[in-house]
Amino acid sequence: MTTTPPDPGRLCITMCNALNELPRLNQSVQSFLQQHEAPPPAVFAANLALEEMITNIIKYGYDDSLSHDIRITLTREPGRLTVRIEDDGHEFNPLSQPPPDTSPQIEKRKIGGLGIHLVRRTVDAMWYRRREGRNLLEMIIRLPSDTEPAAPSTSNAGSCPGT
Amino acid sequence: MEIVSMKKENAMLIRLKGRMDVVTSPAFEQACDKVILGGDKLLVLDLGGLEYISSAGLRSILGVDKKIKAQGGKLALCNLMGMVKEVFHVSGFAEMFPTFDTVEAALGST
Repeated sequence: MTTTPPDPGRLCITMCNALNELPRLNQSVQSFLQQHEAPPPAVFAANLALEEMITNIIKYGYDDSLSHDIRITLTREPGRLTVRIEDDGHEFNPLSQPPPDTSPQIEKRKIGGLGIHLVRRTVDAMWYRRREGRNLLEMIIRLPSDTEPAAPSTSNAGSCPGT
Repeated sequence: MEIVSMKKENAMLIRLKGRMDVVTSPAFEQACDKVILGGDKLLVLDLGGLEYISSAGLRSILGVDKKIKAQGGKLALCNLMGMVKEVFHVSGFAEMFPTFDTVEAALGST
């Protein structure tokens, strides 16, 4: 896993498609969010968005047993945190998935799709597109706007190496 | 995730602290398997120390519930707080298990 911190408001991480990479990803994300004084609900939402979506990519994204890169970018801007995940797995649009069964009868309940449902209910906005054989997923988590000094939006300025 | 098991008079209490995710949930399932094998009929999970839970954590709890029910026992949850509580509600899991505000109330639920 490689981590590139060229921009203080942006964290870029490339990990391979293995669940044992997740603890190191968590550590990097945790320290980035702490540094930016993200409030606990936003930290929770970012963690959930990353774990659920990356776990799906690792478990269902590939047919081969090769190593694949998954690129993660967190961008901290005034009032919002953006979590971006890019992978070269099968085309998969989480926004087109039907909501799971959340009925209370444990025995009857089907459990698939729960992670995506949780993320959709936790983040404030989500968009997906397929480009050049890659899935691009972006999730926006709103932050209280007074937690960092206001500055013009830089959402399109700069990018991580290799993106 | 820190997992602390304590034998109570009529039950086993497991306190969870930290992150319950796809990486840490298997250890929780193993700890519960021991309790179920030990024959305790009531397992109380104190979730007050949990900072984070994902769908993998929820699935683990569901799996433990099925195993203990198969042995004629039951699972009770207590101390759900903050975003962990929110996840239980959004997922519908809060309605699937007996939940209590305190450990004492959960232990008294037999």
